[in-house]
Amino acid sequence: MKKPWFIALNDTLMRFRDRNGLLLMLAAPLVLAAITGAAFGGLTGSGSSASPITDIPVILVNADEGAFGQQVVDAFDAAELADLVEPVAMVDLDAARRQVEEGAARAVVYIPAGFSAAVADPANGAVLEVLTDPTSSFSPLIIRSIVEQIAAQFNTAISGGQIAADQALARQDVLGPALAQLPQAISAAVSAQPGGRRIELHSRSLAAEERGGDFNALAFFAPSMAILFLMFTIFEAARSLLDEEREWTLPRLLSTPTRFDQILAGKIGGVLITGVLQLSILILVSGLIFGVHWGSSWPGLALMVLSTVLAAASLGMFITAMARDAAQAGVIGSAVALIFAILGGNFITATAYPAWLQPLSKLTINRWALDGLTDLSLRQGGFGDVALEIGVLFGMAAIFFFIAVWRLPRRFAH
Amino acid sequence: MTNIVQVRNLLKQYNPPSGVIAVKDISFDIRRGEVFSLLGPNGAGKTSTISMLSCLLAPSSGDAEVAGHSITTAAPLVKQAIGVVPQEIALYQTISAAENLIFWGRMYGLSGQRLQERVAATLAIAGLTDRAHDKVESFSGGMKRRLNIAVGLLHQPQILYLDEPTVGIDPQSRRRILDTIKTLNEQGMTVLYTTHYMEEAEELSDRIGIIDHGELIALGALAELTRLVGESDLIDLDVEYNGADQQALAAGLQAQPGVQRVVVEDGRLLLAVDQADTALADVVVAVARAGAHVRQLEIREPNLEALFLHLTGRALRD
Ligand SMILES: Nc1ncnc2c1ncn2[C@@H]1O[C@H](COP(=O)(O)OP(=O)(O)O)[C@@H](O)[C@H]1O
Ligand SMILES: [Mg+2]
Repeated sequence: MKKPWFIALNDTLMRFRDRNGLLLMLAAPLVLAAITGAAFGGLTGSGSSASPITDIPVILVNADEGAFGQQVVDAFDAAELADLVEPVAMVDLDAARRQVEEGAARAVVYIPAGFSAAVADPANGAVLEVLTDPTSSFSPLIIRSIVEQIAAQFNTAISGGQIAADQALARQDVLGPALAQLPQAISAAVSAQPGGRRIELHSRSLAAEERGGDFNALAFFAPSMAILFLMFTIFEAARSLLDEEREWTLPRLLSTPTRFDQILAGKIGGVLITGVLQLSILILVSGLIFGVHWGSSWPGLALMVLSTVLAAASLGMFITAMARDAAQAGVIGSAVALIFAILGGNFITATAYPAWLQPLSKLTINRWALDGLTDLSLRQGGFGDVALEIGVLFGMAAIFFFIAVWRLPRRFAH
Repeated sequence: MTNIVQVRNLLKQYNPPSGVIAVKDISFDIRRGEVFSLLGPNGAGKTSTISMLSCLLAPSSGDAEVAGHSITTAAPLVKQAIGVVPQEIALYQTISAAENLIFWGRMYGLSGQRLQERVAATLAIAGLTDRAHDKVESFSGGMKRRLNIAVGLLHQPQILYLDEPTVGIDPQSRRRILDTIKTLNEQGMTVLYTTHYMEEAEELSDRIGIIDHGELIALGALAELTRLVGESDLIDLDVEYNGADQQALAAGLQAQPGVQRVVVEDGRLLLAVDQADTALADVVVAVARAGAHVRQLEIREPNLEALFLHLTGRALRD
């Protein structure tokens, strides 16, 4: 039968045409995520320049056999950079790149084979490569700047100008004494070659689809606010059965040759379509404007969206089935949405809650939805990281759904 | 078959066993092609009756056949045969008139070309073709009422139920709706109409059932019903009491020769009399003798109001 489809479509169209509804559905969660993201950014990481940036994980891949490659590596190990960066040496460039993609490191500094030879031979151009994580805002800039400084020191040494060495000394406050010593070390090894080829720095950010994660406050608040406002929207949508009873369109629907189960299927369909559209739009837009990256698994993300919407919709239908009227359902719905949001950690991450609160927290849809979505947005997880959450959410959906669908026809029978 | 509706001993008790008996064992028929009105005051049981005949409310006992199908066992077939216009505006306010009609048409199983045609036709009947694409919430009360009726006409039902369709609207809109119903009936539509306005029932109906406290207390064509009252006229007195006792005055008037019945309604006295011109002088004198005087007076021909008064001892009013 096409009737449930037309009912669902009609409901969805009415909801997405309602300007106030859209404000609550889409604008409010994005604005709130932006505000809270900005407010908490300083506390949680690279979202703000005011925060101290320390121990940036960077991988050095030195394929050079000569002394100059080693000098670049040594420059990273310098004492004055010890707080700033956490260099790790690796041999395999692809493996190193994967580390950045997976969010384990912010950048790879690659010293190609023959680097020393290229530096020593003015006919050849020497190249240093920096691959950075595009989701982090500051750490790639810092790594790039360090490598630029190192390259500059080499260049200075190569051109052999004493002035350059002075300039290097002047930069001591920025880079520390060890780096400032670099030109001297290099000039000792290479004879001055005025007009020689300089070291080029090839720096690129990894492509968007392979980028990794940094702790981005928005990567927490985008899913958290999306879940909170999804609940509001979905509860209101589920309540529309009671609104339609009050506004006489439900009795009129029942006076047409349309069965109650068709009406119910249509109403539930409308709630699901609305919820899936809302959450998908929020995910898409937060990706575009906040740069939140939603993990490495499309099926994982799609199933997280579906299971979260199903669970919230079933809870909404359950409230509708149990409430006396639309007004009562409204009050219960708002209370449940807020209590679940607090318990589930939509405002403060639930992992910070005391042990006795944890079981309560894990009774909420919000907790599982948020755990799953932040596994994707914050920790760049894949399908395996969210499978448990998806399963729990589908389970919650099933429980509420069956109670609601058993109770609703009785609730509306005359 | 000449009867499109056959109601047999229909009874509705809300919240049994102690709840209100809203409809008490009523039976009547509606003939194909007629306008049949249920006339009765608020709370008489009109909506309860129409809801049972729409299969929205299960009868406590009794049954009815609509278009040959039982309301208790063949609800889907009954619903396909009827067009229901509820007492309240039952429309989606945030979408346009045309979108409402398209949606409701689909709920009646219409689609494609026929749906388009019916939407256009019912918009024209409601006089809303120009406003088809405006949101319902921007409409006046009368326009909403007309659209509310149009929805019930979409699938060209065999019978149209209208539950008090003129409540709370301005006189022009009411006029327009009454004319629309007459036109529909002339084109062959059978109509079940409920109202508490005597004039509407008189104007529209081929036959009228008078309902009060859930009971059908009279049924017939207007002429038959008024004949029931006998030759009585109605005298409506607006009395200035000047301290006189209203009940005592009413009792005194009741004792006058030629006075059949006296009913006290707020400040007014309603008298059913054999003949107004002979009784009038005695009545006015009796009022004066009681120390009161007549402020205003109206004489009415035998009508449904007189009948209702005659049958129930109460006035049929808002
Ligand atoms: N859902 C209900 N539950 C209980 N009593 C009701 C309900 N609907 C109507 N009634 C009662 O039934 C009686 C008839 O009501 P109704 O059919 O609405 O009359 P009308 O349409 O003639 O005004 C009234 O006394 C009313 O209070
Ligand atoms: Mg009524």
